[in-house]
Amino acid sequence: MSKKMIVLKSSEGVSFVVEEAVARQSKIISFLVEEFPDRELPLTNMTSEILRKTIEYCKKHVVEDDGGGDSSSSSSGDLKEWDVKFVAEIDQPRLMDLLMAANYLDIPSLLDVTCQKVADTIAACNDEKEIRATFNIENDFTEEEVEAIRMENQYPI
Amino acid sequence: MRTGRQKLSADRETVVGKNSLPIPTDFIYDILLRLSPKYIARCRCVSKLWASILDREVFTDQFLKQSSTRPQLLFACTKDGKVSFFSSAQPQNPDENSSPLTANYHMSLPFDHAFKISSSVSGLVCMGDVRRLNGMKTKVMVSVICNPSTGQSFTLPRMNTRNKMGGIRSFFGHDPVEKQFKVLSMTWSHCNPICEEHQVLTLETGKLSWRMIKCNVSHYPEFDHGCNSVCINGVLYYKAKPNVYSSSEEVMIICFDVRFEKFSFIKATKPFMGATLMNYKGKLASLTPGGSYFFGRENTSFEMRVLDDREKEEWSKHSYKLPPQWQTAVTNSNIIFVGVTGSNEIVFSGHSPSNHPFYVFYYSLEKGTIRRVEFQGIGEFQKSRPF
Repeated sequence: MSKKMIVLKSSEGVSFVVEEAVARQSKIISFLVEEFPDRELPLTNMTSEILRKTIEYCKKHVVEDDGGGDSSSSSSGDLKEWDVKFVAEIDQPRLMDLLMAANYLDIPSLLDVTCQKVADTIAACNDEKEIRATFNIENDFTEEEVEAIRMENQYPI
Repeated sequence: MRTGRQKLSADRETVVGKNSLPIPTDFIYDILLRLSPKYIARCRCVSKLWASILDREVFTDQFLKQSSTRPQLLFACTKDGKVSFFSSAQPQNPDENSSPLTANYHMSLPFDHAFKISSSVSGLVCMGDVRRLNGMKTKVMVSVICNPSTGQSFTLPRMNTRNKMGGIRSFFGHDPVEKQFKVLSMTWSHCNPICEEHQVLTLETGKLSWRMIKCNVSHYPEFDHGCNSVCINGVLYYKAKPNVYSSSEEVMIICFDVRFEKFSFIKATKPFMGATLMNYKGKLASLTPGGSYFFGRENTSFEMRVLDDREKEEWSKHSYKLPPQWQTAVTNSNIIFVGVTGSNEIVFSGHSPSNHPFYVFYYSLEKGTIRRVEFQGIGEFQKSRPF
């Protein structure tokens, strides 16, 4: 039996043909597919690059969630490992975009791994200056204010 | 992560994928919640927005709630005048033959003579040390509060006391209503058999000071198991006897209400001699080795008494016989009770000699099985104990 396919269109107008089951991991697409069957779904705020990444993630995860005895199905431990590798290969700006895409398309598990990767990146920074530089955050504190927070921070609770 | 959530933000409609965006405001909260406590202080210095998120009470509450769902074993190890803290997640699969776990290092503190380390109270530990302070001839006792998760420590101001030549005992408690940590200290003089001065110090920002409080239950705290105490739901429990000369059979359990700073007591009897107090499903429990005062390889039974009704002072008694594997698993002759896990396992450990594998034992109250877990990374210490 052939699988039902749907078409997703990126902001650049590039079409991606995806199995419906893969795309349905997005709750938004799931909803749209039911509302507008047999129609191309334009994702105007998503670049082809990010859309491709998102689909790659969904493809990997649909096999596992399927549970239909697929021989390529890997254990949940392998899947976790795959997720770690998947986010490790993404650079900082793309990671934010992917996080936003996961939120926009409502894919909770992708949102979870991207948020975790951001948290890990914060933990890997040596000080607050590096955190600001990595995430493009403006320092709106005066020297005195930072000093006052440092004093407070010494308190162990 | 909750499902079906759609966050609305100004960033939402921007084109995704063109240039680097800062972390969307809506997600900062979720992301910071995932950090280990030691990075929180650093993140408060990043920006006003981050500081305001981290300072909200809802963040602290959620952060503590999350960490309590990941139970940890905390180890305090002493070597070469230093106390080092390590922690490890509790082994999760009771039925699997667990492979050794690695204990993660947190912090070390120099100590002259660390004589008492309190059980961890919401992640904080209070330690007593007898040390020589700058320019002083005699050594004095100081209390140090440390937070192994953040690596911070803090020496408390010394207590002003009339009983300069006497003794001192300190206990550490937490009041979940006012969300305050308090240290209760009491002193006695050599010519008086009971503690006569009771003082409390609240951990708060600003200047810390001791306050004298009234105690209407004359008592003398026991020193066995390193002044074992347990704080459950804002009540600090510790064992005492009516005065220093009383026989150790005259046990009483002091209940100190941390919020209102009031003392009361539960009359205990002989079975509570040598008991270790702990928190069993939110109730006070007392564990005693069966048969002898010490617990170890030769001793294969223990008793647990659970305080079912605090008002009526009703205890239920449960006896447990350890399975035959106990004697093969345990090499130490002196084992201590450490605590109870969320999955109803009693945790035991022994002071193992240095350079030996360090084991923690889990006895399932429901299944009656014992399992042994090795913790790596702390074997070389002279003295280690988990909490």
